[in-house]
Amino acid sequence: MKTKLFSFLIFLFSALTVFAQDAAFRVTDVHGMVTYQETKLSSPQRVWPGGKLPVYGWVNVPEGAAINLLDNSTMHRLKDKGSYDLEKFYNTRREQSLSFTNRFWNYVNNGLRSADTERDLEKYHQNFMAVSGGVKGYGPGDQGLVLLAPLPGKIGIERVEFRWERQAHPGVYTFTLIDAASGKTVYHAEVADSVLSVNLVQLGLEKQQTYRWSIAAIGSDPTKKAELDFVFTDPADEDIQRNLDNLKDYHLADEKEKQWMKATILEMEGYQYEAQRTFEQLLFDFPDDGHIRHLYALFLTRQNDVKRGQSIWLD
Amino acid sequence: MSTFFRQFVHWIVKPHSILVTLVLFLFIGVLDMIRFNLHFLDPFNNGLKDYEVTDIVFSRLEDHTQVTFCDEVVLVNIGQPDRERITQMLKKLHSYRPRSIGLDVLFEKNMDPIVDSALQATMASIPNLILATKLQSYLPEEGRFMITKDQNPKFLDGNLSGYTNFLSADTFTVRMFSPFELTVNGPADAFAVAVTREANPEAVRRLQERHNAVERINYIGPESFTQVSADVLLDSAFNGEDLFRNKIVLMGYIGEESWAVSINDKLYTPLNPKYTGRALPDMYGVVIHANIIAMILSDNYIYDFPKWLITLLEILFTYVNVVMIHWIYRRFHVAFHPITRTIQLLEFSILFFMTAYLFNYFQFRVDLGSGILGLALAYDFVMIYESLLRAPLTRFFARMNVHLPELEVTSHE
Repeated sequence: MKTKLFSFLIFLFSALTVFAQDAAFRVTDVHGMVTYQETKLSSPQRVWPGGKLPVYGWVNVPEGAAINLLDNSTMHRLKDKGSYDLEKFYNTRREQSLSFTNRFWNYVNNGLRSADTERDLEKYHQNFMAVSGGVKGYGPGDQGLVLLAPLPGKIGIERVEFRWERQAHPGVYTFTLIDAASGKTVYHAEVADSVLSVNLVQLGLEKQQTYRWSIAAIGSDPTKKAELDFVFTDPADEDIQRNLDNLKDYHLADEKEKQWMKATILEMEGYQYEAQRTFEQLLFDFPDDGHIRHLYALFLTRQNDVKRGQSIWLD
Repeated sequence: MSTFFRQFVHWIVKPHSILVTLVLFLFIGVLDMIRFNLHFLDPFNNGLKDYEVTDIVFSRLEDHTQVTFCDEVVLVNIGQPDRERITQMLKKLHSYRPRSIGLDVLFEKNMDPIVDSALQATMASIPNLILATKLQSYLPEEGRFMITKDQNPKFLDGNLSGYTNFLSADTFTVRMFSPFELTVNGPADAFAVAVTREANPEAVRRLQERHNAVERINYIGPESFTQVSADVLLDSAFNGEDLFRNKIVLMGYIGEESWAVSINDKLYTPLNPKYTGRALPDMYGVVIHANIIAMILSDNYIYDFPKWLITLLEILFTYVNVVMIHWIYRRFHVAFHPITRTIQLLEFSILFFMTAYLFNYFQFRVDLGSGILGLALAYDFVMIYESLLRAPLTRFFARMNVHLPELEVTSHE
């Protein structure tokens, strides 16, 4: 009996050892120069997509890089700059998946709680400001934070409306205006909205100086914030927004997307006529593109030209 | 046993309920002919127009914490490169000996003749390369499609190809694709099918044996495949032997930056988190092809119940409801309204749960559209029948010597 028990334990131990040896992270996607170190002192090795990483060691993700690691069927998306302990990932309890019945119940429950009728929209409009114009991905965001306006360039107006959005968990934010040269904070505010109007002259900002505005979500890691630089200048020198060359994505975009970006920026800045002309040109260049028609119809609807919007997009 | 049977028949066969069900389905048939295309008759708002119950399963009820990984397909994000770079990528990929390479790029115009001929020669040297084409207008008298000129014929010459069209209504959600079509040049495969045929003809044979003109796409997700960027592929330090050997490789545009959202070649799918009034497209075309290939390889198809069975189920379901509502009308005349509405709500929920459950676990798609409409209208039609139609119909049948039973209302409220 004892021998049998002993053999069983040996079998169990070897099975566990084999399992532990086989365990690995599968690298499904890599952007940038992500490296792996077995220990903190060993030399870093570049990580390639399709490869496997052991369940120990460190993954180093530099600024702007990202890596997706698949652990059985759980995906770990590492997008933030940092050094990640793989053992911690492996040993951390994986996100518990709910049963189908629970997911169904949650869905019905959420549906009942967020029954956003027209009346609810009017009464509690602050809770429903979920849709905004603009294009995602312009500002280098974090925690899902995207800075919408102003974008990098020269600002010449006194009162500036800073706008941002967060897809996942709208909440309260810390807005900070920093002197880029000295790193000193010029203005700091906690905002429960995703827009803040600031008079730059009243704050004593100096002309031809570079300033940085940053947004961080309260309750989250304060180091994880989205920020953009701009130069405070005279009104005549202002090139903010109209200078699309400042946007990294603008150069990467194809012709269609460039025009769409231009139209969106113009609309955001209140140049409605120019925005409409750009949309019309876009539609002229891509007459069969349903998505463009849809976007133009939405634009017309935002301009209260619902009739024309409907004529462009019949649905 | 026979007594039980008689009791059962007595309980279930109700002439008036049969008549109500007939009238109700007559009405649904008329509505179906109108098809709700007239906006003033459209009972739903437009945001709800482009969604199916199964979209809710894909977007909300599937377990998104778990990724179903497909090891057999590798995606190469080519970005927006020039033809010289594509030639380099093709050469490098071919050297890794994948089972097939699908190039989801249309080369419409002639460019630099030297670069073009180098690309042409490289394509010709890869026997398992499949190029993308597009089906253009349908010629009904011939029952065939025209092929667009979006793909330059000089590249197509001597190479395999597949059309990249998906099936989608005017709202652009891609739920289905047509695997095989006839073109003026002969039979053609969908791009995903052509790529799979080259790698695994047996899987395509099984698809053909289903004899479905169109197939619903059983999406496994956007992150279910290994992705390699053009920069990585062309990096001299990168060795893709293990990754690409004997795999299906799809080359296409999957955005420029990991964090930037691009609408180029991006489409709406049922996985879109917003299943009604969709805001932004959510999946790149080449990733949709990859999902189709994963479905074909794993035989993980979506099954539709036969139309006749669905119609039978819808009629039975509506009839049972009419019998029940009639019974409540007789027994609980005063409390008829609240009881019926509560039961309807419960039935809707149970039906939705069952539809979602069947789809989630067994990939069975049950579209009881008319049954649901029948359930919604049953109450009103029982009322209309009792107040307007019952008396004249009873007289009509009496003249034909068919005597319908009298209504017995007993209040138990």
